[in-house]
Amino acid sequence: MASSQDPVFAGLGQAMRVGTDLLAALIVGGFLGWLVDSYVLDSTPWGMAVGLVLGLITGIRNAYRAAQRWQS
Amino acid sequence: MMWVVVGVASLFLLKAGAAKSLVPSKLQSMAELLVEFIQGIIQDTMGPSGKQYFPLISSLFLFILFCNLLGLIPGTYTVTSQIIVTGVFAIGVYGLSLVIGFKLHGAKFLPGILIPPGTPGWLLPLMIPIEIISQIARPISLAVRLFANMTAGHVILGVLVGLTITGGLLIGWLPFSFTIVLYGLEVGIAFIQAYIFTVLTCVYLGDAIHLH
Repeated sequence: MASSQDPVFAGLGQAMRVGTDLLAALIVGGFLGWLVDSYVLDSTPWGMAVGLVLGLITGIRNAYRAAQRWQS
Repeated sequence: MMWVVVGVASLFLLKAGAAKSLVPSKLQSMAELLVEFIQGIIQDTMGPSGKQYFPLISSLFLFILFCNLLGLIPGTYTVTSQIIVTGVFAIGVYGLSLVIGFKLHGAKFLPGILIPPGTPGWLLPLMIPIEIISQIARPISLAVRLFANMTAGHVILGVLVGLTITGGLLIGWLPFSFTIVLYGLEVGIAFIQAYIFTVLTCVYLGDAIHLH
């Protein structure tokens, strides 16, 4: 049983985290955009397009921040 | 199955903690390793103020770990391969972090999590939607990660066993050997997924406590 300071173990944990974070941010962005489209502004398809782009930015930024924290 | 998991986990810890000898037996040293491991996670991610959340985090870790490990025994059922279970855990943990944040910081908490420190004013219209998305994505990625890893592992094992049975003696040994290798991998994944869930719980609670 590895300790939480074990670099291999912690690194594996970090690596498995990033992929899902990217995907989840993209899905949430698209879903929020779709919600705005269909219930608030009636602006299909622009809300979902903007939401997907925002989700992509969010995911990449979160992955970048996680990588930065990992280096230090 | 959930009650079985709770029973096995409690039995293990009660048995391991029953004889408190100075030179620990095998079972006792296993339990001590586990406790020190969880304490290490809390110390790394939340600092000394995280001590009071030790019961919550250790029971969460042990429950998920035992769910994952017991589900690997053939014929049993993996509780964490249902998204409703992991989803309730994730939403509970995230809701708890929100409650703690609002309790500790009051109204300052909302701008605290939505505006990263050092953001120039003209970037605010971009940063606030991004932070909102990132906050909502937290419980979703937490739930989906555990669920997807558990489900995918069991589906792959099931497919390989099915290939073994249909392959017969002539070619069936090939998928069967893969099954053995993947089973070892699955044990590792069961542990790592429980570890990741716990670490992220600590990180979210720590974010709520410290607020930058």
